[in-house]
Amino acid sequence: MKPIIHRGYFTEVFKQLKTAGIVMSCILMMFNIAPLITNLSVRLNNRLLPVPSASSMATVMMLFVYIASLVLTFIAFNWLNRRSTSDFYHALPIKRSRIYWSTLLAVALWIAIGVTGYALVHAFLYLVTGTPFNYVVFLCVYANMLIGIIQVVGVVSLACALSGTRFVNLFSAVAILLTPRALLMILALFINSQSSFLPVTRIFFLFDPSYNIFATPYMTLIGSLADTLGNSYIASPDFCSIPAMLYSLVHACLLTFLGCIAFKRRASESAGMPMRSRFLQGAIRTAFGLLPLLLLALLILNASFVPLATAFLILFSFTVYCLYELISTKSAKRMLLSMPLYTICIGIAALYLFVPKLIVKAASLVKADADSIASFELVTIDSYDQYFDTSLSGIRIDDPEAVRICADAYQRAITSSHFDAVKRYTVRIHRKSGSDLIRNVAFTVADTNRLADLLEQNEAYREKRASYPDGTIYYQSEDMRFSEAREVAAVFRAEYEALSEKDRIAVSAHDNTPKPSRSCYLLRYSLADGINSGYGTFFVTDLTPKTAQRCAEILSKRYDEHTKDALLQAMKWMETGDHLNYSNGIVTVTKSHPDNMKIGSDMIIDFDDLHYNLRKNGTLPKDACPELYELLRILCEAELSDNAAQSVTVTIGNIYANSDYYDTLAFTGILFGNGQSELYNLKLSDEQFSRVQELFTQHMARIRRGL
Amino acid sequence: MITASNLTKRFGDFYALNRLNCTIPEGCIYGLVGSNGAGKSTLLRLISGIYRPDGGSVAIDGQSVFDNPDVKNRLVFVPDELFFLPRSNMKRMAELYANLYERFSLEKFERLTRLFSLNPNQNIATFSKGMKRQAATILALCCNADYILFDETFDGLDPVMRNLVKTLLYDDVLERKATAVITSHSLRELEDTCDQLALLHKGGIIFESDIGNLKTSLFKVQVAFSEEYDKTKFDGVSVLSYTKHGSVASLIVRGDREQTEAKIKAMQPILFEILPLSLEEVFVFEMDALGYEFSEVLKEEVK
Repeated sequence: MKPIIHRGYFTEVFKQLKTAGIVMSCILMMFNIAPLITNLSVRLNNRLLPVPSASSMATVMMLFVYIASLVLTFIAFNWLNRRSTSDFYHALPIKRSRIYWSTLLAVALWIAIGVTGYALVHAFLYLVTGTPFNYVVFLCVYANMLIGIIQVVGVVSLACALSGTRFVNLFSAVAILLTPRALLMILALFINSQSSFLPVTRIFFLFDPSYNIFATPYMTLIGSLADTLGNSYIASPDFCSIPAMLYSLVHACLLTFLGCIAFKRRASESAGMPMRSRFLQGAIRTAFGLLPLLLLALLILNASFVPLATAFLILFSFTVYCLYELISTKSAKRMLLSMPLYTICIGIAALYLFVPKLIVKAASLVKADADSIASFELVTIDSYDQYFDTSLSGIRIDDPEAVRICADAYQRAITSSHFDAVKRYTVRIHRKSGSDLIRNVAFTVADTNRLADLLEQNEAYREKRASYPDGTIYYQSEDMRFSEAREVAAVFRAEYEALSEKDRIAVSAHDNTPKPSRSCYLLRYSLADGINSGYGTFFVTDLTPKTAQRCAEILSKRYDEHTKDALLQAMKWMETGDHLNYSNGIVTVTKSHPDNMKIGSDMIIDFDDLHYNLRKNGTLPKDACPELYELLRILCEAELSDNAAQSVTVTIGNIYANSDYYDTLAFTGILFGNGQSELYNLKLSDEQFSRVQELFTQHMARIRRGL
Repeated sequence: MITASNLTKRFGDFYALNRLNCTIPEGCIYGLVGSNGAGKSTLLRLISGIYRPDGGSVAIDGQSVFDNPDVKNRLVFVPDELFFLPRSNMKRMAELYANLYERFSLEKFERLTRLFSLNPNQNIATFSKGMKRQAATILALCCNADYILFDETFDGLDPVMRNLVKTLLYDDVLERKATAVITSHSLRELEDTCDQLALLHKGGIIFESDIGNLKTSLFKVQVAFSEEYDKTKFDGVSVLSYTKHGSVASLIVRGDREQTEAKIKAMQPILFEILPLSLEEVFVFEMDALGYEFSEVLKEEVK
């Protein structure tokens, strides 16, 4: 049996792709400037180095690689579109399947050269510049990219085999690749717009954008668009999902093999002709006509129905539909004949108006009371990317009281379309009948606190919380230089290792867990245990005194160097109002009650309460908030302290940095919407502290009344 | 041997070839003539395995051609619309052919490029139409294929180059027992090249014959007698056409030349002359005999 690759033909295609391949590789190399710029910028601005996340690392580059793969494959198969070249290649004494696979190999080799070259230089640059680098995530991105490339190459070769003009090649490739995903995604959006309790990306795996890798950037775009239309659903692909990768790989292989079959059956006389199959031609035409109509259906479903928009979208859809037929077939007659079939588009769009409602209705009829639930898991906790939170998934909670809380939350979720409670969770409910349900539920403050207590008794949970992935500290935040952060991390690590299991849990922050009474700093690390990565937050308390002291020294030194200008600057911001455009607030525990603080206690300003605007006519309304102004004045005038045990730590930062974490030893923080976060150790006398508390209480009261 | 049986190829509703049958023996130069749209190029594309037949079959030495590399390795096709890699020169094209055709000879390539005085390093895009044809022909001949298929190859070649190509073709046929199939819409083009000719019309071969036979079995006789006479006088002779101007009659006769000559001379004519027919004239009369209007079959030629 002859090998599947024809060496001579492969060599030829490889040579013919030389220019395109080199250009692609060069452009890819330019993407390596990104880590350098990031590193330089971070160092120049004395900011912390960001951990490269899969999506931030990859999205743009992936998009480029996919486009490059698309172009290379088109070039490699371009001979199919011209009569003379098609005849020449079809006359060659080489099996068609060998031509096909040799071509794909040549394309793949060029892409592999470009991408691998990029990856090696990328890793090298990270290494040389000392930028934190998560190799596991990078490998995931790399694997994703390769699978995505196979998908692209497969679909383009399939499209080229099915049609004979560049126009139809391109549009059919786009349609084959993206239409099924778009239809699923839009269906997911429709379902999501109809219900909050169905986690669409989890109820059916194909609703999850992580599947079908190539479509991800495009799907994210659709998701963002839908978000602007009032939906809460935004695609957030998981680049490290093994099942998603396997699925995409199978999909890619399927496309590639279908391409091979189509290529083998392809008639040389197809060159210069549109799609030979009338059915496929119609399907692609319908796909292009359908998408604008689905947008219209979404508008209607979200009650954003505007007659003008409707008319425009229908007209646009019909025009796209007809234009595609006209341009692809170059036949006005065929365009006219296709017009009545436009009703198929309308029919499918109409289905989208009521099918999602039926799905939601059916889902809401599924009952799960406390008696029928065996256990449940917390799958995700809001949108935090906390290492310990993501690790929580898979831990079964079967405590009867917790189950009852879950059952109540489930009942509330299916009967109410909005969540007023504090915390939203996605839970997987294991029913005694053996079937599972996955739903979004909302827990009340009391439920959340009780769950936290109950979780502490869960052995699997305790075990996970006490674990700390090995050698995976990528960075540490809280306003330290990278080298300082590493030093603190090392000190902390040593102290952490010596702690008891109970104390380890006490210092590792979790959304649900009680905050330790004497924490003065927070250390944020990027943690990774294989592909299970995320941020981990640890409290620096008297349980790790060396770390606390080192933090105080570093921060005081830093603010000695840089003065308290930043704090004063914050005052200035408030006075000019330039940067206070959305929120401020104070989160605290009292000095006299250093007990555990729990979510929802009186000392915490709920997130939503912080959404008011201090700015009026561009200036801070001092008279509107005199107590806050005085409070800040006290803090600004206080001296910096380098003693962790005797100081008050103040954080000024972005409220979106998650206020829960900023509670510290005695006084917590003042959070500004200035987009940055600064941590100070201040010397405050008891009188000053009392006054701050008093002012804070006044301010809280004002907030609750409304400004 | 190339065998086509009931070969059918259609494009949409149009039948380019409709149940065509033909046999092309080894070691000959086979001419396919027909007007535009007769199906010549389609037949060559089917023989070379570019097209898949919609009906019937085409085989070389009993083996189907389509997607059969073993057979396709034994043939090379020079289409009417030539293909060269963008910005390539003949050297690069030779490299391409050498990668793809097992029997491609680089030595022969060098010899032929010298013979045709073509610069192998010159960009082919700068070649004239005739030079491009020469280049394509050279590349095809260097493949050393058993079957060489030329589609309208002699178009655009000047007489000197045409003769050179023909000579090389004869060499290949004689030395390697190669078979060449040449299409043209011009009978004159093929007249002095081919051993066999087939006339294609509306997707079928309506006439096929050995050229030598054609020319010797059909001839023109001019004859006059002292007495009055008409066509009945030649009842013993196979007359395809009879015209008379004054006392001189012109006959197109099929049959043995010597026997015909003896028969007519026995009638004691005052004028007797046997004239050779051009291939075109032969075709005109053969078509007439088959009930076709020659000018319909080969429109281009008549114009």
